[in-house]
Amino acid sequence: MASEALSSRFRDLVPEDVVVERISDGHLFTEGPVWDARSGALLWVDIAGDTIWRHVAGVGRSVDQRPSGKANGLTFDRQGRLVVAGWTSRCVWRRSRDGSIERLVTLHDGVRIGTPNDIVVKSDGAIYWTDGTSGTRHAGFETAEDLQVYRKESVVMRLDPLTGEAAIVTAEAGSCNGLAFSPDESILYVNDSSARVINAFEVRRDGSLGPARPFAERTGSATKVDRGGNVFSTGGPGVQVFDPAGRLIGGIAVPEKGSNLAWGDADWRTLFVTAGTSVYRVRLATQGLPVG
Amino acid sequence: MAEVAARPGWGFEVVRPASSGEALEGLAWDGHDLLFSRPSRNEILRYDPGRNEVRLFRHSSVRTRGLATGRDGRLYGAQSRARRVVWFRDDGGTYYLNAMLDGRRHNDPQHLLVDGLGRIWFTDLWTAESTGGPAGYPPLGHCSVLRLARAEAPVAGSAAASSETPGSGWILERMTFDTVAPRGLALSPDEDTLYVSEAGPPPAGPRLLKAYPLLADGSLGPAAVLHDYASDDASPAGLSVDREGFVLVAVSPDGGAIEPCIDVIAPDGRVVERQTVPAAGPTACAFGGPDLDVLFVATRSGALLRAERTGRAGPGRTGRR
Repeated sequence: MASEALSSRFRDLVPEDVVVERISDGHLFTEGPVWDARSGALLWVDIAGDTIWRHVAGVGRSVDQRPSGKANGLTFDRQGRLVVAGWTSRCVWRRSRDGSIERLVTLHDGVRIGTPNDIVVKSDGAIYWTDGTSGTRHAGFETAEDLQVYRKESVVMRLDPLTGEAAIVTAEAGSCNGLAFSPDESILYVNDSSARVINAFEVRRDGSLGPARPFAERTGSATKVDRGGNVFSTGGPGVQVFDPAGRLIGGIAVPEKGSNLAWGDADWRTLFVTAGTSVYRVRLATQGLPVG
Repeated sequence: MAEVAARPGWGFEVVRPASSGEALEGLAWDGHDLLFSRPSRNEILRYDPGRNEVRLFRHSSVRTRGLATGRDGRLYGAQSRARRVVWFRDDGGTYYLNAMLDGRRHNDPQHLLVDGLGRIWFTDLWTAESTGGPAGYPPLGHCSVLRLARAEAPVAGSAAASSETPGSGWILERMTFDTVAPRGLALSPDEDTLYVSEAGPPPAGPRLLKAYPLLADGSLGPAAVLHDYASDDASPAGLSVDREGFVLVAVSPDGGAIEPCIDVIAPDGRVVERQTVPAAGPTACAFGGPDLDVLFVATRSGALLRAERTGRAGPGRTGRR
């Protein structure tokens, strides 16, 4: 059985005959999926493989960028630029549509930022990312950049679109892995994959965050939100689904341990899952929040 | 068990007392201070004997175990958890060196040393920490002494030196083909002999001190076993040499036959001294102090010890250039 409903509402989101289809395999470690609506392609990273991959339905996969600087989370801004959590490149960088690459943030308080893990762009252009510390701990994830971690704790950071200043918006999100906004951008969900919880933070008008509010437990590493405000997280059998109140309403089985999620296809009704050495595609009834 | 003539005790003093579960490793004298690692806390500490003060040198050390300084003053470390040797730069940065041996990731580096040519020798062991990380790199398939050498030595102060790209420009080579559990290593003062301790799990695993001649073509000749610690029911760990060429071995008992000790072994294999260490599990030993005549010993118990009455001293800056 590919899915299990714990609440009748789950079936409004995930059909009973849901199919989990592998669209790519043979990678070292997949992460950072994002739908490129302008070209109708899914992008994801193979971190240790130092590559951003591209997949077009009916065509197959191709290398989008190599080397990738061991990039991790990917997203698009409203201008269609790829915004990247640079992981062991120790920066947040952006690739414009003409292919030019710009480093947006490398330092904070005079020292190198952590290992940017996952990333989202708010509708006002502010970039939020989880600035973790774990990127340099693993064999095969390193780059030729400085591998020293200077700030011990993981934080969520925000790049102000007007001032260009980067600031820490919370240090209460534990190990800081995936992150996603609610549909109205009033809540930012952040995965703490060490404590295996998701915390919810109120997003204030000035872009700062309120205190951590426990949202869900026994969760995985990354989260995406659908139009109804339901929270899809890696974890459990593969993907767990929580309603906006944080109640677990069901799960979707994935053959490998999920690392991250992305909504996609033209109607945003597909959930892509990066997991282990593969990428999976799951058609759903619900519609995800568009990116870019 | 080795028969050893009685010698005056070295009078070990406690620099830091034992602390449960916080093994110390990786001794390196940098000319002024003693650097040592506390892998369980991901820390490298610095002991200033002049001020009798221990300070934090680096946090987030990624289970750094072995430490070694080169003649150019560079500090290198064995980041065992991440399966890489790194350069701890003076500006606080950490950069890794080539970690691929013939296209495969090496295992967990343990002890390391820098020879007179700036080459880094290290013991490469597969341990319980060898998760390999999410990349899932498989074990190398052997546990050997490996050696990093610069592909082309940049001239100090040159543009090439300042723009040196870490992670590249180093060639990694396998040096031993007969080891299964290499731990400590040391070079003789003339750098003609490499000493390697091996400690596989008792009773079947090898517990040896071996000596390999360095051949003219840069490879190692066949090993001679200088001492078989199975006869003492003990395991050797970190090594050091003194300026007369005696090998100092940090030894832990596996049974009840001997106490934790530092052995002094002549190049011909004679055990000339066996000095009891007043703390469990010596992991490493190194000479330091202004005259390199203070012996420091790190232990698994967390104690850091010093002895000023060994009558011995480290070789200093001799050997090949």
